[in-house]
Amino acid sequence: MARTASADTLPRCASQWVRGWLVAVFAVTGLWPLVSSARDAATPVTVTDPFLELHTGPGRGYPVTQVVPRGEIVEIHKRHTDWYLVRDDHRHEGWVHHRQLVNTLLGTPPAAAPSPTDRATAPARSDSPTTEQPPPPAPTFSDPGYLDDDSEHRLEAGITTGRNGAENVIRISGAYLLNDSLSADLAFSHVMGRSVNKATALFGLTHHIHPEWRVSPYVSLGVGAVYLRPKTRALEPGERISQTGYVGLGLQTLFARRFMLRADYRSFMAFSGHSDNQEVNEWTVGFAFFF
Amino acid sequence: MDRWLRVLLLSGLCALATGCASLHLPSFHLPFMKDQVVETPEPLDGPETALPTEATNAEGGTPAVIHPVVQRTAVRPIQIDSQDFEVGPYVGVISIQDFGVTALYGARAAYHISEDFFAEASIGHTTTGRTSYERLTGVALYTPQQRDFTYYDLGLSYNLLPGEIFLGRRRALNSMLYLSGGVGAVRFANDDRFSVSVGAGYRVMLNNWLSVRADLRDRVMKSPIGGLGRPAHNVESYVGFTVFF
Repeated sequence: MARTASADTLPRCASQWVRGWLVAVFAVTGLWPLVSSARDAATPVTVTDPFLELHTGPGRGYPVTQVVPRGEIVEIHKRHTDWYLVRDDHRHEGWVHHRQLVNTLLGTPPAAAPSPTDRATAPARSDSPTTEQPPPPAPTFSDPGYLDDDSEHRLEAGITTGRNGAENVIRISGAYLLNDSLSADLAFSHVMGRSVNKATALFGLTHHIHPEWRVSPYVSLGVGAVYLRPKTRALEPGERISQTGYVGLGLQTLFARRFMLRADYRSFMAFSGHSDNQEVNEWTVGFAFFF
Repeated sequence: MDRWLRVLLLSGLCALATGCASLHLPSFHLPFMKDQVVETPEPLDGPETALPTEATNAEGGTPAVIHPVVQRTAVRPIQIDSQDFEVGPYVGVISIQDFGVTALYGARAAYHISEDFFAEASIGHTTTGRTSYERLTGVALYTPQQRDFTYYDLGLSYNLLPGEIFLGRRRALNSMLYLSGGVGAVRFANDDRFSVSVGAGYRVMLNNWLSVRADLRDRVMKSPIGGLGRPAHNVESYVGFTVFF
């Protein structure tokens, strides 16, 4: 019975969505291999750690199946979070954690040049050291795309949810960090009320008072526009747009690598154009990350 | 109104005064600038390296045993192609409480924050069937337009169990079992309803950039029927592929 009922309603929806998805599927599967292969430029580096551990996947839980000893050359192909896909001269492929690659040297070392470690431990020759000019060492590999927790990252994104007055709210936000303390924020929130649904676009500034603290407090200030969509036209005026402003404060802590937890309070003032502007308190919790 | 304006202005003054005090022009602190090539300095053949040699010469006139050659290594930034983003469509079925089972279509985009967490946004759509009441009485409670059931979901997933799938003797595919949770909104019958989703999924990497995923979610929201506000559990199961870039 249920199958018959659903079959009645499927064709109308399916004709639109299936067509769209088929186009997407063919576009992605057809074009992506070309894009992927075009970007697959390898970077050769020389191993200076005692050995590299090649995992079968980009995670500490994947087993180590190969090791590459010091002095060998590997090619770096991709990065996924903290892990790099490398391939050695014997066509062995695996994922290596970032901390093992920070000491590798770019390129291939000169044949006669000992590695820095060898130079440090080898006995000195008896000829005059002042006339000897050792060859400059190869540069160390560095990936600007890899962001440490204490690096100067610039972009943040976050998702929070909570209560806006007595209603549920979801907020998605992005921030550009102007310095360690100050950021410019752009946020969109969705309030699902009993009588009115609201979609809000907000622009503001956030100041982290002590960004170095483990639990960092911040204050925020901003303005925005609210699109109101009444559920019933009998009691509410029609769809309309109004202005709003807010002040807020919150707490943020680094919970895991590049991953932060947030609790936020904001006091909104809705400028309705009448003498009685409305104040709404909003409490949210959520997470944010930088990239 | 006056009180609120005072708070607004004082807060703004406080935030901007303290924040702007340490403001640097962004053009001088762009991320790529700190990773400029550091030129290799000259080897330390000055007075610092001469000290050990003199010490050994003073003892017996023998040549220096240890000649430390300390060289600072240059750092050259190389932009490695990263694959932290993931997008793809999915299809499946959703069982909407009181409305039966219907086909589900959707798309999702994810960002992998670390090897443990990834944030994901998804949208889905289905057209609901008829309720039991409608089937028994023949009275339609909703128009065809009102039966469109569209949701979005913003959530976080945790990679719980990494693993491998072995195909024959020579081929193994990486896999991952992950737990997901999220919040979102459902638009149904011209109304937006808050929803919470929990579930789990399984990802199999076909190669380094293409994966197949299967998910099972329970999307909980207030029931649209009767205005009772009781929670409605909508269980959905879907499969799809994603590409990493």
